[in-house]
Amino acid sequence: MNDMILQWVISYGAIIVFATTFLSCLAMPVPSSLMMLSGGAFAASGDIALTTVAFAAYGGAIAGDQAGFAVGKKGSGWLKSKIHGRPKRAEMFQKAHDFTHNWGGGGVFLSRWLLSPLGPYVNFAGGIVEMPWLRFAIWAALGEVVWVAIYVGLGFTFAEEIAHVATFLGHIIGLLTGLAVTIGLGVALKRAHAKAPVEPVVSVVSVVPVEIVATDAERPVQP
Amino acid sequence: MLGAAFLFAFVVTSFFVIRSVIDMVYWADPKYQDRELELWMTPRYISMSYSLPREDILGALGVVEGELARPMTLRRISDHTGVSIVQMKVSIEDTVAKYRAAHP
Repeated sequence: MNDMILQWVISYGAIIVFATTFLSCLAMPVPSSLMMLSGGAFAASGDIALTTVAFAAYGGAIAGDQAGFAVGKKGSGWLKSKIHGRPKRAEMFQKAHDFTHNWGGGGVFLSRWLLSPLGPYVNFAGGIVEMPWLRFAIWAALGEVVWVAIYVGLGFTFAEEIAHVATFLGHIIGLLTGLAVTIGLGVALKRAHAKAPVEPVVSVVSVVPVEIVATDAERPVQP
Repeated sequence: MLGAAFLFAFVVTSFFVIRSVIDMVYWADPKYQDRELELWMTPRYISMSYSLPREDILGALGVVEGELARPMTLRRISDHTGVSIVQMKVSIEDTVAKYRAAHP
């Protein structure tokens, strides 16, 4: 897998790096991290210019985030029609909406690089709950700088051992994301058992309004 | 439902913890650090990876800088010179061994 990606990057260069980061921000299963690592490695060997790789990756990421946000926003209308006239759901949507307004920037920022598998879903959710576009755009832009810098930088620094680095990074990211999700679910579980279940649980690392799509049948019954 | 999701997330996380630890232990061993030559590698990359001057690598492959349009991957060099991949790898490995013997 790694060799195939290295082959593609050396053969197609900036175009494929741009396309891959773009698609990864839309939840497509493309190996964007590996692409950036490879790009960085070839920048180190002098086969591709570092600025080319960095700008291609960054441009794709920004464009992808904006596209994901726009897709979410289009879905906002459909979602609103679903919750219209259902007071509990309307209240939840409002809480998620308010939370995203107040704290979503941090979630957007962290989901760009530290918890990158969550990134695309944060894009969609941000659009759905109508997060202020400017806040989203700024935090996404900042987070993507970190993302591109880390991956292209690591590829550049560890170019000689690029395959090992790629594998290891994948495991670390999986670990961190899994840890965040586990903790988030653990907190949700604790609250669900503790008291009134009407309170929506939106952890700081999860901007996806999970509760919104839960049907009434799935709610635990209040004795 | 929430409990099942939590358990699943916990198992997946544990899997990644174990994989990461294995990575760190495995790759620290010097035995696994010399990288096998691959078709996507270029003379620049090989030069960097094996710490040899690029000219030596180019010499081993029988091409000069700029003879092919970039990227000069081993695959493209093989197509250009007609020398087999296997033969190219042997040439490079010989060159690497000689260079390292001469420059410890």
